[in-house]
Amino acid sequence: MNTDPDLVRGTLNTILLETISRAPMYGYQICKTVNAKTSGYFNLREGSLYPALHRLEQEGLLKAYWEQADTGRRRKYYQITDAGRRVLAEKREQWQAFATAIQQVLAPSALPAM
Amino acid sequence: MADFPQTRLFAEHTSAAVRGPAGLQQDIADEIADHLACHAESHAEADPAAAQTAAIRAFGDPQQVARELRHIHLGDQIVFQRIMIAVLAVVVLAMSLTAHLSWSANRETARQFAEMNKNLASLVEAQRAATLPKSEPALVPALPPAEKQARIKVFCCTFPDRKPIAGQAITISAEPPSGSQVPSSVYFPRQLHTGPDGWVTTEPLPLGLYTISTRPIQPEEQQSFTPIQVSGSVWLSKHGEDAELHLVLDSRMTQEIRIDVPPELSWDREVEAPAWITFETDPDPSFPLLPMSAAHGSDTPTLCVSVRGPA
Repeated sequence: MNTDPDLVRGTLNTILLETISRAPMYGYQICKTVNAKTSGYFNLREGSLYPALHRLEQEGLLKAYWEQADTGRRRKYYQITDAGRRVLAEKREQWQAFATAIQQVLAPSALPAM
Repeated sequence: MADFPQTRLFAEHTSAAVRGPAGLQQDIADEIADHLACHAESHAEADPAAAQTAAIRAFGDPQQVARELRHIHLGDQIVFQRIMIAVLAVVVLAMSLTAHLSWSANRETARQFAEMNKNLASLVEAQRAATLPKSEPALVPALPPAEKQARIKVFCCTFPDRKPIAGQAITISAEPPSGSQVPSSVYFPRQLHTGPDGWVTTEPLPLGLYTISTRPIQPEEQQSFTPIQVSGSVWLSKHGEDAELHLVLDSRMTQEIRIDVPPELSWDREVEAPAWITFETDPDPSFPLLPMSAAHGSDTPTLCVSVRGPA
């Protein structure tokens, strides 16, 4: 099944905030986690992850720091901020309400009797 | 640590496309390189080169990623630069317009000034023509050409110490100048006054017979009174130059004196001819007969005549 790109764009920030809210993560790790959690449903282009992460960092919802990986490479970790948590809570509520409404509309029992 | 030169190159290429500060580009290159290396490592059990290619393919379009990152990090700066360029363009345009308007205004002002000057000159000319007395037409237009004109310059002084006398009336009368289109009675007798230095100079006069006196001529004696007469021919050394005939008169001189300048006297600087003063009536024996000579050594030849009155 193809995924609607607009749906991905509109929910990517929420997915990223939710993923990072558990623990600080680096880019590839975030990508793998999202794909694992969604069973590859969103089929993210890995490159598109970084503009979204950098935008969230600029907005103050994430903060980043660098560490030396075991491989010796520099690695950038992202960590959610308090502001990020507040936004994530709002997004959760909005999504719950939206999903409930959609569910109610799309559920077979909601169809009017003919 | 596995070496992935292909992915490293790709990461640096992507970060360079951001065209940001060196530190930012380095951070982006390191982050993307780490991502691609992780991806390649997870498939490295196969062909490393193929693993790198797969990582790059999964990453997506590097230009699009760089474009988005550039907009995120340098968006404000780009907007500021664009605003500055627009402002600069407006300023340059305004300055050019102002310079052009100023130049046009200056040119218009200069044109108006030139026109005003022209009108003013016309007005002055018209006013001058209107204020000239009708009974005294201009002397110069009726006179013969300049090469046949000479100025008479008279010096009035005390005797014998030769101190200049200012304000002394000098009367000049003349017979009709030869070739003149205007009768001399229109101009003569004329009364002039010596300046502070004792000298008075006529305007260029045509050659002819002039009578010069230090006292006014009364109307009733105009026909008979000839205090001093200068007669003869005078030639000028150069065309267009005014010659001067200098007469030195004693203010106390009352007798009538005639000075004949012989026709052979030339003011040509190459010729020096003597002339003699003769007295028509009752010459005083004490009067020396002074020779007249053409003076040399200057650009303008000057004929000097000294006349002394009785002691």
